[in-house]
Amino acid sequence: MNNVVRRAIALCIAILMLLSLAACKPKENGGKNKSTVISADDPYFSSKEIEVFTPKNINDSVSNYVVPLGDKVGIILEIYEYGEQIVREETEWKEQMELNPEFEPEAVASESTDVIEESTEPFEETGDEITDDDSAETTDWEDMEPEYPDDGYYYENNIKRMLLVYDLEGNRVGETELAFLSNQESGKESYIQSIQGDGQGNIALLLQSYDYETGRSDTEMVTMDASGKEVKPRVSLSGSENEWYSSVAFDGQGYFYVCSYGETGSVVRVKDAQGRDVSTVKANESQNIGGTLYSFGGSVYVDVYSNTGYEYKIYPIDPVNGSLGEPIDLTGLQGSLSFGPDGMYLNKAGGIYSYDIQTKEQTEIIAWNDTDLDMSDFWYGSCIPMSKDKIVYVTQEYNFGIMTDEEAKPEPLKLVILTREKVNPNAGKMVMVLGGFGISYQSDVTSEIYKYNKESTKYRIETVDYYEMIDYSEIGDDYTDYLKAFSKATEQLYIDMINGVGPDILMAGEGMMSLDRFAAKGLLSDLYELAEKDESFSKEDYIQSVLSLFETDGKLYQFPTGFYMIGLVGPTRLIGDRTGWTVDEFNEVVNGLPAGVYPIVNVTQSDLLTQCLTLSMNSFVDYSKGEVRFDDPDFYKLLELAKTYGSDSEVNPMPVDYASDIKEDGYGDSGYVDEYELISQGKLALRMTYIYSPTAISNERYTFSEPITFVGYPSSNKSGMACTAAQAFAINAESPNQDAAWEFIRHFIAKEAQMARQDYSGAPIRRDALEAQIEKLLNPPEQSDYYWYGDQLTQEDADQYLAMIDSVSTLSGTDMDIVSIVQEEVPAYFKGLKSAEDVAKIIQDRVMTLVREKS
Amino acid sequence: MTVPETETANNNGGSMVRINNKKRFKKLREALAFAKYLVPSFLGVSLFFFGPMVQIAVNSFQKSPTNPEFVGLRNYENVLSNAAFLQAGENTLMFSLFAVPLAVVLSLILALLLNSKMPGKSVFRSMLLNPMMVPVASIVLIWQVLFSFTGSINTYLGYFGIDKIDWMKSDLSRIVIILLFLWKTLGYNMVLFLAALNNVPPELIDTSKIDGAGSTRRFFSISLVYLYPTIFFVGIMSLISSFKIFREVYLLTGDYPYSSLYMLQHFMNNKFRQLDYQALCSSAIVMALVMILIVGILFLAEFKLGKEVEE
Repeated sequence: MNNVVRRAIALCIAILMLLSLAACKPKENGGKNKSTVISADDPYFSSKEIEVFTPKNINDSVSNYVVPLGDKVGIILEIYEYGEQIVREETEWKEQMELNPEFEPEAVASESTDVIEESTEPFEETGDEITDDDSAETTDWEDMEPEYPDDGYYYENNIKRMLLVYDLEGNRVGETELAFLSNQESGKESYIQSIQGDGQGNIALLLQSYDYETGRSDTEMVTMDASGKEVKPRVSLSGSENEWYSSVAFDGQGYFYVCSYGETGSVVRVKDAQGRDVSTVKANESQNIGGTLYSFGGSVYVDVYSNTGYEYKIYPIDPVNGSLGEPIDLTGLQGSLSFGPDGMYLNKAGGIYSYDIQTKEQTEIIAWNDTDLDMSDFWYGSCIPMSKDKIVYVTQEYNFGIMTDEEAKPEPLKLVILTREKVNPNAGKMVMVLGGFGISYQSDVTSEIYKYNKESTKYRIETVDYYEMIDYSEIGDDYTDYLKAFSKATEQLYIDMINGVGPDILMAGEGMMSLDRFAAKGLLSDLYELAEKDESFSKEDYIQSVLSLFETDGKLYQFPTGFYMIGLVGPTRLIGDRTGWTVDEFNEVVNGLPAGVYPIVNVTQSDLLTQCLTLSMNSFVDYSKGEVRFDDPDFYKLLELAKTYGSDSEVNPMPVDYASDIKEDGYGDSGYVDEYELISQGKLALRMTYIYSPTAISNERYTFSEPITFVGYPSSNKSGMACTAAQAFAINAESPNQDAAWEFIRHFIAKEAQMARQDYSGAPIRRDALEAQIEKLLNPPEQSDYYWYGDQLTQEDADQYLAMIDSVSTLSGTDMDIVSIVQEEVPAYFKGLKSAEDVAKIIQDRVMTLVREKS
Repeated sequence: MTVPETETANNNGGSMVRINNKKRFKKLREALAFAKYLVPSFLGVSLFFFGPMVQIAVNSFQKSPTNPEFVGLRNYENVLSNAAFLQAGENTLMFSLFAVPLAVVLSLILALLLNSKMPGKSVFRSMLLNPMMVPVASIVLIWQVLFSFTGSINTYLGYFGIDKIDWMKSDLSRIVIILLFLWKTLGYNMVLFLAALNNVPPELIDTSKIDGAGSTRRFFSISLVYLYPTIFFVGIMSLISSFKIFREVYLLTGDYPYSSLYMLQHFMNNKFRQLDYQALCSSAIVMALVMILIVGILFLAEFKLGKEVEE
């Protein structure tokens, strides 16, 4: 070998070794780190919002279908207008039921929710009927019969359809009422099943008509132009009477495809322009056709699911042979899919991406950080990228209307046109990154970001949602797969923090991510220290008992903006008036229960033990002294309690001791025990409860229909209900924008934002906001749906709630490492393989190592 | 014409200097030529080994990854006073202390057996090499099947009326892990010894036989002396392998095993998960220093023994 060859080899080896440096590429965490200043060249999309339609009445609803029409966009509206309430005489509707069984349930079933709300004691009235042996043999419609009040009523509703056409500047260029789609005069009702562009500038609809007289449904394909005029003869698709059509698509060869579900399962029927059958496509035995057709690149694709495991693939259809081609695997792809003539798009939490099906590469079309939109309005929108510079979004804000607006108003349907600008108007502003999980789905957060960005002249909040780091392709059917993938994404956040590229502000809550780990490593700022400079902040404004639980040595590393309580609830006559109990006291109560009363249902042995431990971990572990006491009789008792009253099966969570009894009684045939049924008959002593707001107290009282007691899980220190953060914020200690970050967090703990907290997002941490909410709940406006469920809050309920939160002394959520050790070891005891002492000894040994390591 | 002495001397001296310079230049050129071939390896080792090692050493004297304030030996004090670290150190040391000598002695015995004229020795040799081919995940699976609480060993013990033993969650777990380590390493060590035994000069053995030396005397006075370098090498390799037993223990028992199985790498792995980089770095440096010390002692012993052999 001569020198030249040797040198060449040496050079190649050196290059190969250097190639491994590619692994050192920094992780993408949104690309924006601390102190990034926006430049004029950075991408930015301006937005133009156009009000498309506003329902007249709060009860009216509108659904929309968006169809791209070249350089225009068509929006078909289906407006459901609630008519007057027609109250029937009992004899009248019963007569009609006999004449026409299908008609009457349809009208009343759609109002079944209102029926329940109207009725004051539905369970007492209907309970016996539901468990009646005869009802098991009846049809679905007949199952609903007991729900009908004797004074049956229905609404004379009206469905109106309109086609609106807009150009890409947001001008309405066409408006047509599609009266011809309704066949009400002929006694038929029509429903739009699917809408697609036919590739020739026309709109094709699958229209299903239902004839109430004959009970027959027919499906037609209607083709109309942008002015709403039918331009082709209707094509009847009616085959078998029981065949339902779900979607339509067109290819470049003049064929159209319809997906249908019938007696033989889902199939795709390929037809020529005149509606003549060309072929029928079926999936193989191990697969199911999903029912969605996609058209792009001149071909039509159909989605197919596997019967054997979770996978999602789309297959191109060979129209002539009626066969499926080579699949494109989309399993685990994050975001909602949409297809345009140019290809496929993914609408993700962070923005819209084009997806190359060959290379599987995703290219960002728009990042929501590069717009100024209140993303809380965009939960239920339809998004269509018309080009890389123009994106169309049609959306309607969902009005919760409970705590925010005393008089809920119908929200308009909006068309938003996003246009790429050449110069970023935010140039010069400093970026502050808010990081966490599920930020995009929390409307209060996205709304606050929108407001902050609008007001601030110096800073701009951008978000990094670590949910996007989850690799969904690694997630199978097993929930533990999700936990592992989630854990990986959490690790990414930890690593970003350690590397000094973490978000300026962190958001946590709902147990999805613990901020304790960051605080322990000195990565978070003391918020009290920052608050000292803020004259408008007063610690006394907040619920001291709750706030103090989040303090560490007088410092506050995370500010809980909303919280909720966890524990047990049961009738006072059965469990007594108490706030906490030891295991012995719990056993005493349970042993004294009347015959036929079950202590607790629907909780596994492992979950029951974990809940008990979560609330009494301090009794067994003392990190400060490095002590562990799992080899204590108190822990043996907890083990015994969990074994006795928890279920030994994840699938059928009935307690082992009375599983057979409860089955014989007919309360748990389908796996879960019907708690409400047991409660209505006074046969359940305890159930797990999560108190997100004061209304939960009145709801529980309504459920039990008798005086109730809220109590913590059994523990040696008799701890009461425990508290946990529903949402919390923290500031990165390394952020150069400490004061600005605090200013942002201040918005969430200000009275206005605290007052606006919804039931599901936890109670406000600010006392005056909580008291104002309670006041509002005690004196609700005269509005029929102010309470979704349950009874109005009473002063006693409010006092009970306030007493509960003022006396809270336990923070739920503990060292998951300890919990996982316990969960690993206890099955041997639950299965009778080891004694409680043996299991406790092993847990003691392993947890001791853990505590020593962390001490 | 005569040339002045001084001039001649100067001339001679000049050519001597030139010759020396030429030699030096040649040597330098050779060294540079060799260096060129070493550059890729040097770059790789620097980049992926020395660089991170230096970074770890620097981190071990800093307050936190985001705050590089110099804190002296505080991180080392914290680590050396941590009960879990001391326990991990003791466990790792105890394991190595028992497992490494056993691995050397047993593999040597096996090599001697297979080196004798026993029948079917090639079959045994292959069988003993099998564990080397089995992936770690499979080894762990086999051990779980054998030693879990509901495993095969307990089932067989049950036939003799013996109660179930919690092999992996009691003090017996150390024995299980030593067995696993031996099962894994004996084959490889044995091959090394077999190769070394073939290098013992047969004429020496024949001469000693003529002189009337017995097999024991022949082994201790001749074979063993020639095996010293190999024993040293096998010892070092087994020591390094013993520190790597964490992999199997981790797969068998997770982050927090029964206390007798908690090794130094458990400590470091868990500290990484907890983002305690300072504790991780200082414990890694402590462990590296201990390793260097042990290997240094072994080198010294080998050097002295090597000298004796030469003499």
